[in-house]
Amino acid sequence: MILVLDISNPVVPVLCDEFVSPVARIIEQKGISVKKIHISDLIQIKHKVTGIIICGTALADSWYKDKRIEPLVSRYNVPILGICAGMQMLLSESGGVVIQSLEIGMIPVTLSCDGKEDILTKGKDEFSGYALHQYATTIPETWTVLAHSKNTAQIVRYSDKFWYGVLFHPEVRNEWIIERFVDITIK
Amino acid sequence: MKFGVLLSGGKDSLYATWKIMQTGGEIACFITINSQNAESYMFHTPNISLTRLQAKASGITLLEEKTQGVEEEELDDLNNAITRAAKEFHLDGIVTGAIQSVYQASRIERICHQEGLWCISPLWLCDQESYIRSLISDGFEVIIAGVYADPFDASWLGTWIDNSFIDRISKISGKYQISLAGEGGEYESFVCYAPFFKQRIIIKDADKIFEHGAGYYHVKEAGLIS
Repeated sequence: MILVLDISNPVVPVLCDEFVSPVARIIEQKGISVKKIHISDLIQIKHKVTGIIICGTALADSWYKDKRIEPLVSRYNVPILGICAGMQMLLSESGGVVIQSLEIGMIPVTLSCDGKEDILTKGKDEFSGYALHQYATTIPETWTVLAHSKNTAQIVRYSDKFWYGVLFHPEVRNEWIIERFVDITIK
Repeated sequence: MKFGVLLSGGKDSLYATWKIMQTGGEIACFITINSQNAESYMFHTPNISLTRLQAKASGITLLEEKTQGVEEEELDDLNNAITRAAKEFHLDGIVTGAIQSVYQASRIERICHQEGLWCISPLWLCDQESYIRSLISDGFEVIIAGVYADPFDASWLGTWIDNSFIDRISKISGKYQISLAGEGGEYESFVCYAPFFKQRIIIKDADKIFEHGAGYYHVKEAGLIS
């Protein structure tokens, strides 16, 4: 079962429909079971988890900024994909510093040499991604940049684990990234 | 939180309104952009003036802004309307009925960001068949107000979005690559009744205008009944 984590402000519960459900649907369409859960409710997980996706949230939402995912990450030794704010959480807890980086709309994304070899991104040298963020992070030394836009790193991977961060929203027009991540969790 | 809804008169903006209401959000106003350009990239046009009846039926104030509908320039008019609404109604955010259009969504997101507002699209990337079925089961009464793609013809104009509509459109959606919710601009809709309306809109007189493969349902007279 893949855990799809909602880190949006609970005062606006409809954000789950906008940022979490579309990701869950892509996984379900591959025949894999999914559990959507808000970060405040993590204690309730009783299923065997094979992968974790930390979803993004609204551009104006900064509620997640003082939350931590380290307890979740250390509890399960499974592949992780952080999307947008989820990537910011993963990297900031690995030593990355949150910086202003506004990108809205479709942006060109280009793979790095590492990205051309990685199991997640191989074979998709250039494409457009839907960006919706006002922050990014500096990239800690333990992470490798797999793809970048003009402004910043867009896809990163933790050096020796299947932990990925994607700054744009792959659920919009780049479902293949989520599908490949699901394949990694199966392997 | 207080929201203003970008109201086109169609099902998506009013179902988005309903979803916000159901999850505890307050709808402080509707915002309608009245485009003079029937082929506007951003704004739905058939029967746009009837949003006044929808606002009255729901007891929510309507703020209207006119635009010539010139591509990109119309965004300045949208910006003005959102700024005015935010100031007048002390809004926290804007709600849109966007489902898949990154063209619409990213432009509205930019304006909201400039104005320090939340931008919420509750139907974003939704499962379209489930959405249309929920629309019907939740009690929305919606007609087809415009058709703009093959194989739609005049017979669709003014028909209700109901279970037979789903059967009918499901049969053609695969062959003609039509999205069930009409998100690709294949059809436009108009809401006569929503669960939060205090009154129902009745159409007393209308014409079907159809030529060169496209058409719209021109409502000449409509009113409210309790």
